[in-house]
Amino acid sequence: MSGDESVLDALTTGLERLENNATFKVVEFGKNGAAVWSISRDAWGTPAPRYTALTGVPGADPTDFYYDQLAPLLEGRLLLVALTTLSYPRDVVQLLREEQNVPVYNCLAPLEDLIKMVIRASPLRTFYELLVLRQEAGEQLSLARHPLFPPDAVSGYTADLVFRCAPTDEHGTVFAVVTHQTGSGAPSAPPRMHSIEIQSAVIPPGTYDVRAVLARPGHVDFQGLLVKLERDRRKLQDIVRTIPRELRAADGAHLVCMLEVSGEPEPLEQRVERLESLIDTAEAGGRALKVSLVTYGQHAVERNGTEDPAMTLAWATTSHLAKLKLREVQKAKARQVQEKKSRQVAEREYGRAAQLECAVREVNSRLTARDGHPVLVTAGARPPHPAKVDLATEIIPCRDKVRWQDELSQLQVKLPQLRFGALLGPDPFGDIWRDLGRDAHGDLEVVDMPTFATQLGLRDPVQAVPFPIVGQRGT
Amino acid sequence: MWGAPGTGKTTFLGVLDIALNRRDYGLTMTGANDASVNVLIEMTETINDDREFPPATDSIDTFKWDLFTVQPPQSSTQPAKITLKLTDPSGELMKNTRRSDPNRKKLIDEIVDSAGILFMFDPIREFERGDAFSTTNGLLKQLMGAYSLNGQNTFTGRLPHYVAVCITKFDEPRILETARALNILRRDPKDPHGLPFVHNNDAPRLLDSLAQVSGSGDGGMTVNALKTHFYPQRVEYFVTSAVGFYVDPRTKKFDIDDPQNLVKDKAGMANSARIRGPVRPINIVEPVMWLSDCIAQSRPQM
Repeated sequence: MSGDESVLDALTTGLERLENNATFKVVEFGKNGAAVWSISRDAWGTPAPRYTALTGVPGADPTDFYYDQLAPLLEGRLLLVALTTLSYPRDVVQLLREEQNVPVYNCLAPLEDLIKMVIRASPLRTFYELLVLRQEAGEQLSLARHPLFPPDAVSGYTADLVFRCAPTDEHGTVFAVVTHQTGSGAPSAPPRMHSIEIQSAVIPPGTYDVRAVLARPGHVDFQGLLVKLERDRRKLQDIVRTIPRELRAADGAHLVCMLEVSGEPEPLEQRVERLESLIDTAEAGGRALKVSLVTYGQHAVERNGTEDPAMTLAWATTSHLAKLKLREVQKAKARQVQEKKSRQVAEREYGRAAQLECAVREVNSRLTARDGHPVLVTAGARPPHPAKVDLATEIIPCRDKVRWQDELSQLQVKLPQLRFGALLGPDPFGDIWRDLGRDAHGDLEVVDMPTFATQLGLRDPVQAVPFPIVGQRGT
Repeated sequence: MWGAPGTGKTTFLGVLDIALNRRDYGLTMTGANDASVNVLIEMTETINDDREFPPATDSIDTFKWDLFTVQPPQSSTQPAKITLKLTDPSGELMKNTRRSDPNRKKLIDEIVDSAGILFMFDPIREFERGDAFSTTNGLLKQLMGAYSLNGQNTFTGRLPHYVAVCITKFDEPRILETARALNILRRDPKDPHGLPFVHNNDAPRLLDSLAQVSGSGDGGMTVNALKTHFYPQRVEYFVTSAVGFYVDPRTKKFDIDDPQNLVKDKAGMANSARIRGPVRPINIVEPVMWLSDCIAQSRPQM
């Protein structure tokens, strides 16, 4: 057996036999001098190394060095002496052998590497659990422990879990791995919780599929999050105190985008870009965000006209998916223009209106408060078709006789909290834009998106929820 | 044909053949010479196939078209062949600033030689510009002068023509709405589309009502000028539309909430409008037939 293997073997056995709340020590003579390593287990069995470096080992008086500097650090159990250099103080080592009666090993690898290797391979001595919030019926939140690893689990052990991250404060979502002690105190007393590790990061609100991997006792990797977790040095109890009693439903927002796709590709591109920017801005505000996308074009009012009906392309979906759909709409338009050019068939587009009234009807038929605080943003230019002939504008009526005034009234009665925003091109025409831009309206060319989003309540102060949420909505 | 610029004189002629094919009038039609045949074909194609309007007339177009009766004549006075010599002048010629224009003189000669006049009154133009009286009165005076100067001692101060007054653009929503408000809209129960029309007896009421909203306030004078310068019994009123109303291809029915058969790029821009659906002319053949009947009856029997 080599010296390295002998040291590994001795350290492994020593760690296995090490009781909770106990320590053993190892002396290393290396290139940088002497060091005394203390390997301890805490009350929950988590091993941790620390060391004291002794610089300037004197060659002249080894006895003074041993008794004055080294020996006071060796209280308790000394497991072994490791020599990782050839130029070690032989007299001091001889004294150690005689006074402490410990084995001395020569090894090539630095002792630190060997200790880390042994600790990493050490099995758990207790359950590891993740601290989560459980969403009960209604909006009430309760603190709960979600099982991660059992005792005897070793490095590489995994656990899969699904949870939701809500908006947070600047500390982000906290991933607190805890264990608990049962049977202590009175029988009815709740188990005492002990923090193993606290990590945190500001994570975009949303639902995540995450794999927890045991890296070593005392450290868990959470894979599947969009950002890297950092060690959080706050006390667990301080964090627990920030948990809100209940989750306010209003904290989530449902952004419904109505997008006019008629006309030339360039204005459409601009509308798509602005809606993307709005989604990003709203999301950066920290609110949980669901996004819907309803597109609409023109009615076919004459022979060879194109009917471009109001369509729901995405409903209460993630912002990521909604943005993908927006890009698809833009690409489809480019394809359509190309096909028209190649076909050379005269298609007549009615340029005076778009079926905005049908888009409002589509939204009215689907929108509820279930998916969060509703916000309706329309990016377009043309007025809607009237329900019947309009003597003033002479715009051809909607083929389905949809009356936009009725549809909007119904929406406002059904959802009084609904906010309206309009992103408009130059010279928007029609009374409807006054209603659709009631809370915020912006020029597509120069809109200040953070202000626009704020006016719609998409950047209101959020309720911070410190832990991942599991339960009715999360899993 | 008599009417201010843009009142639809050329379009009226352009849809004549379409009107004959929409309904069984017992008539067929062709040009009496190559030029007239070609014009007939081109106008019909422009309106029916391209769904566009024929270009405005520059000076004076004269068409000679023959209408043939393909059913046995209903009365002994009705001819088996009606030859229409139609003079379509540019509306610009009606303006008083053109009263010394050689073409204006030619137009007056044509009218003097005519037995019948198709007088086009465009209520939309009258509402927006109100120039019907100014374009009518000067021409009337010149026409009266021509009769007087020709030494026709029999001239009594009224012109001898038969006049079919065509109140055009019945398909325009504002005209339709006025007729509806006057409660003079009728429907033929046999018409599968249920298209509305205004009976000739009610047409003067519509004309009076529309003349009251003349942009210049002179619309009433136009109506009075027609009544006083021609023999009242020789004037008949027709509410007409060249393109007719839109019929929803899904329901095949006329819908009073969606009547427009013109697609305009801007409100009121009828000149740049496209025709939306099939052309179903209203009261286009009838004025011509009425004039033809009147003229035929007024001539001494051979």
